[in-house]
Amino acid sequence: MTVSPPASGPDVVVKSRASRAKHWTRSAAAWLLALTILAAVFAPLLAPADPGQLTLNQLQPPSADHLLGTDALGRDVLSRLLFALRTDLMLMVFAAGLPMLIGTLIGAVAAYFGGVLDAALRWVADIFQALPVYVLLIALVFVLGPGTQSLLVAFSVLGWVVYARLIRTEVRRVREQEYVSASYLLGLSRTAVLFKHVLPNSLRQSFVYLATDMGMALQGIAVLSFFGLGVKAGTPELGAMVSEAQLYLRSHWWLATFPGITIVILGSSVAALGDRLRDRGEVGR
Amino acid sequence: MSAGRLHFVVGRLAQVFPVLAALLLIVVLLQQMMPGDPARVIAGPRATAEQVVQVRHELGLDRPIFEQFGRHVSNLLQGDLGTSNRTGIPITTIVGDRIGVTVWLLFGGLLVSTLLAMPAALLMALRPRSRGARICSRALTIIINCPPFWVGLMLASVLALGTGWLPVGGFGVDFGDRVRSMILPSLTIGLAVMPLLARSAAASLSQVLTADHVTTARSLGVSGWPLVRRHLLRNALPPAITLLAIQAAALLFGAVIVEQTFGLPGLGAEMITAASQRDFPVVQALTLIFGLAIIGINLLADLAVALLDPRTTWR
Repeated sequence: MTVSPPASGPDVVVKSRASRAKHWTRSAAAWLLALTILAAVFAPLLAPADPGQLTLNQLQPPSADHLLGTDALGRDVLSRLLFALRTDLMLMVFAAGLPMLIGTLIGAVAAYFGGVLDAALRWVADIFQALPVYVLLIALVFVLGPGTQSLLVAFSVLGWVVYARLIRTEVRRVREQEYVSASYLLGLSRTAVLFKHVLPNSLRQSFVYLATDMGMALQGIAVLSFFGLGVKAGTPELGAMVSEAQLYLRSHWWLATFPGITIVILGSSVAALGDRLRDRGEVGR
Repeated sequence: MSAGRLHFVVGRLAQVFPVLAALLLIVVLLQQMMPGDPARVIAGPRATAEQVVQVRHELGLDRPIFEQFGRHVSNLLQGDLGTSNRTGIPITTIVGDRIGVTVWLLFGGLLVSTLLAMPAALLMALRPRSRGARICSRALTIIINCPPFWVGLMLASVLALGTGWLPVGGFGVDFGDRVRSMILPSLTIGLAVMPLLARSAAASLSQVLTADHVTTARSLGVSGWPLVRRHLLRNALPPAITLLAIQAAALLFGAVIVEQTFGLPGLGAEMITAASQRDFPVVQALTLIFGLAIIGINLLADLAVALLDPRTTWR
């Protein structure tokens, strides 16, 4: 959450063979992401079994009945994987989206109206930037107890600052543009100008960062759940699935492998989409 | 030392105090945020009502928050981190026993990530449009999204379980065993931190590449390794130090994950174990220690940059 999006190299202006190749892989990423989202949304229809259903067919290898086999409690792994995808996708969107919403509102209002508010924001942001976010994340989730709600609270409390910073810089830039002065001349109020004209034109950087942040949120959620501090026990979640499979690494390698690969696919495709957004912005400027 | 640099050093040192105060405040506030009665939680599940009252009084939880804050700070200044409510061992002893493993792991991770990141950074900075650089950049995106705990398990199952060459977990007794038991954890943490390091290094290298003195050197016929060594690396060092410090947070968080995955008895594993056993004083003290470490590393890095780069000024 403290990591700023890395600067990109020289950009696609000329359509060379290499840039077409770049384009192709990124659409591959877009397809993968679309597929993952669809799988998550339609999990209840796609899943062959109830993900929480315990059976006596424990630790079965993949077969026609259970395409990815069953886990130590006899639950169908494919169904759990689909529902876990749903959990992670939803948590990832909110764990990055909520901080963005909060940070953007605070940052935009502070930067636009300036003065004491802005100075206070800068002061708080400087301090937050210097704090160890990941360690505080563990501590915060620990005191709040496991569960979706405490995950989202912890991510929001620690994550809003970066967005507030990003939007602050952009709002201060956009505020000086001519069309903003023109809106004042047309008689719009300061609040109306902020929300109608300044804010919408300041959001690009935040969306670019959102993609990176979603990837980091996914990692955070998965690792906290892996340690049993994230989602409640029994909730299908990718990190928790890897954790449950740890004991059977030698005999049932696929149990830990597939949830891990799913995390990699989900995270990488979101990140690739973010890169694409960033590159487009640079060409546009 | 020039006036600008001196101003920077003084200003940067002064900046640490509000950050330290904020960290302490958060660590004290963590107690207040716990659902339920903190004294009850700290006393442990088997405590009687009288014991809970006693704990509350001993910890000063019946006092106003400012007084608690002052008390906490004065305890810390006397080197008292409290005791574990699970084992009753003083936390300073726990930290002393376990900090060595974490330091081993951090150095291992630093070594591996630097060795992996530098070739990638050089490739991406020197030949940004080559096929290799593009593949490299794509690979970094994928590696950064690999959860370290999963990578650790996969490496363990292939390289340790599959072949028996390396220990699956634990920390050896003699030096040779310890080095062997550090290989997989260092590889895991190194892989986790390497993409960020490579990208940051590539970005600062390519900035240096377009600098005037490099163009001059090139026009004078300097190229290849001498160019990289004499004109590029040295100027890329200050930004690289800053970036390394930014990654310190990631490395420490990586240590927490990797230690627990490989059963290494370090500070990070202790924090996770303490958290899962609801041992609040230990989690609180370790949050503080990790926080202090990261704030300290950032401070040192900024001061090092000020020493290396004579142009440094405050803001």
